Order: sequence, then structure tokens, then C-alpha cells
Amino acid sequence: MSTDLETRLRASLDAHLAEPMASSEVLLAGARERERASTRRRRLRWTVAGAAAAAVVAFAVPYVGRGARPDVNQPASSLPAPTVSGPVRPATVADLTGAEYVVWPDLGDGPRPSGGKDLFVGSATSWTVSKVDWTIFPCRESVSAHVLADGRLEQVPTAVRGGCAQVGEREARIVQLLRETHRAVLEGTGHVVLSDRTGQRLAVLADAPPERTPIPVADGVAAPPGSSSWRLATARWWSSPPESTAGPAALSVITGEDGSLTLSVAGTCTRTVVTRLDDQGWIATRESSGVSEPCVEAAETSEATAINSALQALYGIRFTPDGLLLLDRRERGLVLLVRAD
Amino acid sequence: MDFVRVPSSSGGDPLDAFVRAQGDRLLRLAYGLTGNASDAEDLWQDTFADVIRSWNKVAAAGAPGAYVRTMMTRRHISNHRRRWRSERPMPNDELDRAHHPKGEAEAARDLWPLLEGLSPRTRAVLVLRYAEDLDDAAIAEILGIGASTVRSVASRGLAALRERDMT
Repeated sequence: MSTDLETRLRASLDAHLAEPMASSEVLLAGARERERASTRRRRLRWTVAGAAAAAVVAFAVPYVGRGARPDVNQPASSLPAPTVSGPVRPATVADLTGAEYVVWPDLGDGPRPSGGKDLFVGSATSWTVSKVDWTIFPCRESVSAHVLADGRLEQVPTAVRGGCAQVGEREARIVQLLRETHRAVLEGTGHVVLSDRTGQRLAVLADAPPERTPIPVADGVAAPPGSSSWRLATARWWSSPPESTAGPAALSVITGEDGSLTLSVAGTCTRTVVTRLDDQGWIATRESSGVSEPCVEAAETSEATAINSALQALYGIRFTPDGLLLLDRRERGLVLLVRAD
Repeated sequence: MDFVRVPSSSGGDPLDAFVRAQGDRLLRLAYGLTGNASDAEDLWQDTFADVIRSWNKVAAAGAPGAYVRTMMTRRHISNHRRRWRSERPMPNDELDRAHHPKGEAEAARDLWPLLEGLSPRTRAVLVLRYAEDLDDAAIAEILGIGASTVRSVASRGLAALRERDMT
């Protein structure tokens, strides 16, 4: 006979395991990617072992008078190397978060003109080791990685948003590049250099200048009491209006009696952030954030996707006469929302 | 859900058909074992990366679903033994309360938070017994231990829950 404790345990498990979860078919795509990455690592180990053996032979040969020493000044990469100056240190999540980058050097269809951008980096700060999400423009395919203290990036292929294949070879190659990236360092020039597991330089990320006039930052901070609903007016990385403003309000904001703000994005990939602001409108404490499901559904509105991206890179909030402004760490507007209620 | 048969795929990829048929159930098991969605997705994907590599062996097993369940459970326990994981979701009490499936009244009787902190093996035994409804012999086979050990682990696990529940 079951005890009361066993009955309660069974009920608790039933209740929690009935909660909505990610689609296993989407997860299978991630599992396939992990399997491919694992296969690549196994091959690389064999390659490295072979290369190590070859290196031993190459260094030994000159000493027995039968050949020349290898040219140690030869660049490791066949890619054109950018100028390096200043100190180099491992890139951190803070270095990457909220930044927009142009990938250099050219990856296929010519360098981007000034003002273009290839990458936007958000972050999930609810992890003890933070995760960054690289969102590739304009297809918004996402690649995630954990950034470790020494600048190593652990890829997290949990979800891949489709669409890059339809956009262009360049975007698809950036996705591939990020998947091969093993380490990121920040150079004195402010450039982030990505390298693979062998130390070969893959690409340099240069800060992208704003593509359009920055969203003005006014000085209002106070949140309206109670709950309010907001709809996207514009996003920094969009040069045209959002594709969809239909459906329920995109963002709800609830002001708690304790001064906390709870921001929830509606849609299939629900994200909730609970935060407290200081008197300047910067996030003093960020208590939680999470996505209930991966944002992979084609039906996901660009509005919800844009707000989700902004919440990932959120550092500050301003309630202005123009609406609600979400800011990145450089005090740049990420998205502007207007009241929907 | 049939955990024994590989579902017919009507010409499609048999792995896809297997995932369609049993992937969600295995994800729920992963959630039960890990206690949070992010780790559950990680565990699921790591397990299925192994499944992809050894699909012929899995498909040939008499009960492929049970075979993968064993792979997943053992992988979860051995992951913790190796302590390879370098991340852990932060506690999220406020959201957990807000998102409790049956509201605040039921939250008080909810034992789910108390499972946190049990050893992976103890948690696995309780989840397999009370969520998967497996008997001790089946759990013993999954974990590669004796049925008497399963009983004692379950007994200690329930005692720990009872103690936490009273404090």
C-alpha cells in the first residue's frame, strides 16, 4: 500500500512531467549536430596525433643533416591576418554581450560596407557560466555557446533556427564558422578574434557601427504601477518596420509591490525576466530568466523574436514619453515598445 | 506508449520515427532525472548522439525504448560521477512558484523541489519507480545493481524526502 508520501511524490512527478517541453524533433537536430561534432573531434585527435608525429620527424631531420627546419614564421592560417596590437586577453561574456559585429575577413560575397552587421550577441545570465547566443543576420539563425573563464567557447547546439540556407552562403558560412570556434580573445584593438581547436585563427569580429539612427534614450525611469502591455515599435537592427504586429500584445510588464519588474514575452518561445532597477534605470539585480521552449517555430512572430533577443542582451530599462526602451550594456536602445493597452 | 517496438516509419528514417513515437516520453524521463528543462534537453541530446552512433544496435534490441531509457539513466548518473558539467542553473524560486502547474495551494504539497539535492542514483530510483511505474527488478536492470539495493536506495530516498518535508 502506498504511503501518503509516495502518493504525493507520484502526484508531484505527474504534475511536473506534464509541463510543456521542447519538441523532441527539434532536439534531434541538436543531437545530430553533437554527433557530427563528436565525429569531427575524433578525427581531429587522429589528425593531431599524426601531425605531432610529423612534427617530431620534421624537427629531427635537420639535426641529422637531411633537410631544412620548418619556417616557424609562416602564418598558421591561410586567411589574411588582421593587424594585431595591444594586449590580448580571453573574451568574456561581458565583452560579447549586446554587441553587434561584422565578421572579418570576407567570407564569400565581399566585405560588408560600413554600417552592415553580421552578428548580434545576446546572453543568458541565469547560468553560473554564462551562455551567449550568436544571432546571424539577416536570417536570425542562432548558435549558442558557453564562454568559459579562459575564453574557450563550448558550443551548445540545442536549437537551430532555420532560414539561413535561403538567405545566402555568407550567413551559412558564419554559422559554420561559429560552430568551429573554440576560443575567443579580445585584442587591444577591441577586436574579438575567433580561433579553432588547433589555434588557427578563423575570423576577427569588428564592432559594427550603427546601421540607422540610434533610438533616442530619454531620461524616464519610473515604471507604471500594476501591469501594462506593450507592442514593438521598432528594433535597432531592423531597417524596416516589424513584419507582424498582429495578435496579442508582445510584452507584458508587471510592477511588483517590492519594486521588481517582471517582463514576459508572449508567443511560443516565452521568456520571462524578473529584475530590479537602480535609480538610473539599470538592472541592479536580475533574478531570473528563461525560455520555456526553443524559439524555432516558423510561426514565431518576428516581434516576439526581436523582443526575446533584446531581453537576452538587456542591461537597462527606460520608460520614456515615446514608450518603453530596452537598452544594451552600451546604453544603446535595443527595441522601443509602445503601450498596447 | 509502446516502449518495445520500433515504430514503422512508412519509408522514412527509422530514427525519426522512433523519436516521433518515443522522444517526448524520454524527454520527460530526462526532466525527471535532471530536475530542470535545460539539463534535460542536454541529457536527451547527448543520449541521442550516442543513439545515432549505435542506431543499428539500438534498433536490433528487443525493446529499443527501454534500451535508450537505460542509456539515458546510466549516462546521467555517470555524468555526475565524472563531474564534467561546468554549469548549473541558478535557483529560480520566484518563477517556480509562479509557474507551479497547479497553483500555490498545491505547491505546498509539492515534493518536486525536495528531490533537488538527492544523489542522482537515488533520484533515478524514485523517478523510475514513481513516474515510470517500473518494479524494482526492472530498475535494478537499468541501473546495473541488485533489486535489494534498489529497495534500500528507495527507502533511504523516501526517508530523506520525509525529513525535508517536515523541516
